[in-house]
Amino acid sequence: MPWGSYDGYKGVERCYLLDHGDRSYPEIWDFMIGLFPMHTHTTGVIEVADDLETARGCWLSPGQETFAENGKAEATWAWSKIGADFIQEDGVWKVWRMRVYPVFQAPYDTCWTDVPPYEGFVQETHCDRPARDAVNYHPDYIYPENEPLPPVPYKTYADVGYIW
Amino acid sequence: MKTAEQLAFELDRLGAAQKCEQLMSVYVSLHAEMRHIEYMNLWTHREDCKLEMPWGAYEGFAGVERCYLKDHGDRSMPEIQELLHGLLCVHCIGTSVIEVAEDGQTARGVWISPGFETANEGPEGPQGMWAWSKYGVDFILEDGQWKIWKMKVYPLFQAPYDTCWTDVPPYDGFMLDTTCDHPLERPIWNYDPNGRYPDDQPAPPNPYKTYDDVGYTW
Repeated sequence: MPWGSYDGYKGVERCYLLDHGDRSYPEIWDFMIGLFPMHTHTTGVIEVADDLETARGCWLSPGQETFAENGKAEATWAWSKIGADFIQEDGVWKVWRMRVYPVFQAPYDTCWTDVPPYEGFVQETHCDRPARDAVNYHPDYIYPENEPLPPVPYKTYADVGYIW
Repeated sequence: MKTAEQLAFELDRLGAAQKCEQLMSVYVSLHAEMRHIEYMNLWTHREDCKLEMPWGAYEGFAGVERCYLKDHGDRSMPEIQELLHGLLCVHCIGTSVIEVAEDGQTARGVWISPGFETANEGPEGPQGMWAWSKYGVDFILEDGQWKIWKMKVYPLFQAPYDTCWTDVPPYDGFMLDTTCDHPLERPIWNYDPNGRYPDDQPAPPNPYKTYDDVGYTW
C-alpha cells in the first residue's frame, strides 16, 4: 500500500481487518458515518499464464475518498494504479499479490499540483515494513516508466516472478 | 448444442476482443509515460490509417507518426525534457463496446475515457485539468497480431480542476501548433449548456460480417 507492505495472508488480513475494519465491527460504526471511498478499475491489461495457474494484471484507478466527522465531510479525489497477481486454487481464482501505486490525492477543490504526495488515509498501521519507493505526483517530477509494468504473455509464474 | 467449430469460432472472437481492449489499455499507459516511439508499434503501418484528434485529422501511418512523434514527442527526445517535468496526462478507458467481424480480420470498438491532463503552462507551474473524451477505434489483424488501424478521439470536456465544465469554452485539446493533414471533416460535439448530447458520437458498433459492409464510421 502507499504507506507500507504487508507480508503473507496474515499481513493482508491485518491491513483490511485491523487497519481498515469491517462494517460488522461495532467499534467502527461511528467511523463509517459519512465514509465513502470508491476506487474504480479501468484500463486493465491482463495476462493469463500458458499453464493457466496464475495471471497478472494492472489497472488505472480513478477514485475518491470521503470522510466525515460530526456531520462535516471532507472529500478528496484519489487516483492510483494497481498491479496484481492472481492464482488458481481448486478451480477458483484468488488475489495473490497486489501493489497500489499512488497517483495523487487532493481535496476536491485543490489541484493535485498543489498538494503533498499521496500516502493514503491510514494513520496507524500494522504493516510489516515501509513501502518501497513509488513516485508521487510532483510538479518537478517526470512521470515514471513501468509503474506498473503492464504484463506481457508468459508461460509460468517462475519465469517472471513478482514484478510490481 | 454448439459444435466444436462454433465454439472455436466464438472463442477466437472473444480472444480478439480482449486483445483489442488490451491494445487500448497499453496505449493509455504508453501515452501517459510519453513513450510514443513504442506506441507506434501498436499501429498498423498501412497508408489508409486514420487518426482524428479534436484539433484535426492525420492521414496514413505517416500522419499518425507525425501526431505522436512531432506534435507530442517522446520521453527520449532531448527537446522535450523540460516539457516532461510535471507533465501528467492520463486518459483511462472504460465502458467499452467491441465487435469483431465474422471474418475475424477486423474489429471495432468504442470507449468512454475519464481522464485528466497536467501541463506546465508558464510561470505558475503545472496546472491540472479534468479531460474526458470518447474513442472510436478500428483494429486490423496482421500476421496474427491485432493492430490499431483507425482512431477518432471525441472530446467531452476539458476544464480546470476548479471550474465547472458548464463554464468553459469547447474542448479542442492542448495542441497549438500541429502537423495534422486537414481539419476534421465532420464537426464534433463539445459540451454546451444550450446544446443536446449527440446520439452517434461515437455510434457503438453492431455485429458485422466484414469491414467492407460498414467502412469507417467514426
